[in-house]
Amino acid sequence: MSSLAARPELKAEWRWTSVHSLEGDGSQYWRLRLNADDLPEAQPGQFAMLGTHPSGLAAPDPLLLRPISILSSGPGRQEFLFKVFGRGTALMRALKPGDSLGLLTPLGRPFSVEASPHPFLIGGGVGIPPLHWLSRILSEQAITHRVVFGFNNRHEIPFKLLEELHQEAEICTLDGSHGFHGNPVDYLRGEQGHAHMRVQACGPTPMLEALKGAVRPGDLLELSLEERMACGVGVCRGCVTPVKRGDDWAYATVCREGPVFDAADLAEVDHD
Amino acid sequence: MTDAVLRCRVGAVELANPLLAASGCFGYGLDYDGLVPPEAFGAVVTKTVTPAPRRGNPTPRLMETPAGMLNSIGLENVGLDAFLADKLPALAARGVRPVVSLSAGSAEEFGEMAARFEGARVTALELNLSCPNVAEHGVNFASDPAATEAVTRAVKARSPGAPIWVKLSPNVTDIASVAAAAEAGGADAICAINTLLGMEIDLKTGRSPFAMNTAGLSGPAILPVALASVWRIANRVSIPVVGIGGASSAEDVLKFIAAGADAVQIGTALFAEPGLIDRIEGDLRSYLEDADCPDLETLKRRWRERAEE
Repeated sequence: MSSLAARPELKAEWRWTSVHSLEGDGSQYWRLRLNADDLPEAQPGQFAMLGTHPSGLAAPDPLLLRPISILSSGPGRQEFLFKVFGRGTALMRALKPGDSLGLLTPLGRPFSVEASPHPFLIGGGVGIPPLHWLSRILSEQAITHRVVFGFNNRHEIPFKLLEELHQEAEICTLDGSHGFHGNPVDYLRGEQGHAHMRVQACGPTPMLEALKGAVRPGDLLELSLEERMACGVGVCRGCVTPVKRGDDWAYATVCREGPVFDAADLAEVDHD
Repeated sequence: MTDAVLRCRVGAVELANPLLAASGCFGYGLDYDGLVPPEAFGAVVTKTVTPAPRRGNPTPRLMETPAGMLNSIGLENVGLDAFLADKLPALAARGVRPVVSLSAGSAEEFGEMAARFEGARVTALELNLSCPNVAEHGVNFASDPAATEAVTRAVKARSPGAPIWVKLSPNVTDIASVAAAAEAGGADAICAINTLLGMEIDLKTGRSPFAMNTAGLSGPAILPVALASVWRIANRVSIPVVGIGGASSAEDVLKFIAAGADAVQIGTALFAEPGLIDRIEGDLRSYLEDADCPDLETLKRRWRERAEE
């Protein structure tokens, strides 16, 4: 992947859509399915901006669209998995079938779908949706890979969702209540064989930072970054992250040049 | 649509409709690709250009607020050379009407920037005298009537003829006096308002999350402030006023026009609904039809006459 020089063409479309269903499974995650015909094709790692304010409201409230990663996309539908964090996701949690929702999709650069080196998928908490989708795509293409998901404890594991994978996910919990006792980064350190890997990850920023130090030379590392966004299409320049440009660095937008970056392209910048 | 119903005049400038994309919310005019075509607007105000390229501020650069948004982008831009070489020709090739937003550190530097637009096809130059997010521009020109007049005069002296629009800050005691100073300096129009100075506190640290501490507040929350500013300015100066600040519907646009604006810039609301401009255009047409008014300029005349009664 890489090649940050080329700004990806924007293929997203905006529309008002309706809720098909909203389901909880006893864990903290909610699965939202939207009715949407003729959507542009989306890929794992891409996200959508969801508008929770009603269409035609004189002053949109909440003002900004919410970036949510896509769990799956197909003819007539797009699905999302979310956890209630703030006002926008609380409003999403209250949606009923038939409710109207603004949808700007698909956005951003996806994860790569490559057989070599073997993909090693890591999802932490609410970062699992794109990797869940990626795993299913890799399985459909008969690409050998591993899937590791990390949670705080067993009560947060969306078991029903995990059953939809074509292979078993390896589970880590921080409290040791299910699977490996620890985080996915520790798990990765213990599992590295001789072959190089393509580590593809989405999750909390500290986990992503730790992965930079956990991969071995020769491994590839793709990280899906998170940042506050307003426009979602690279125009407002709100969600920037420093990337390498020759011997120098420049800001790239997480929404347009990302959210998935090759870790080798990311620059460390001291702002002080 | 290319009919004359929404045609709009800002002094000598004639626009196909009264809606302009506000600076900082539409990139350099083509960045939304096919999602929001620039042709939907009467004109597009570019991201502010400075003499040299700027990286802008570190993150966080954004924070949502009740009915609004704080931003601290810090005038990230490609700089004047790259803008003139790449961005402006691309707009001209597409047939988009550009209003170029400029910021500089002194009246002289503003004048030098304006002189570089010799031969360029621009609808107007908008002087950003009041970005709240830039440290080294410690002088906020728009907080000082004399400085505002000096910058405007310097730009008028060096500008090859493009209309000069002066964008003012609401973070002053008397915005109408600053507008009068811009008019005295030769401004062709006043644009009001820029963002309101705002702040957020992260209770985990007890400090602002923004690198510059303060940030600029935009969005529906500032609409009443913008309307009052436009009304006060329009009652003070005889040059046109372009309303900016929190407009997110045709009703808001009409309120600006009733308050004395000749055209209206749409900014933050574009982020909330990329399809907004088409909707506002349609609603404006419906309003004119329901009001039995043939076109927007007639509505403006009616409201102005009523205001003078």
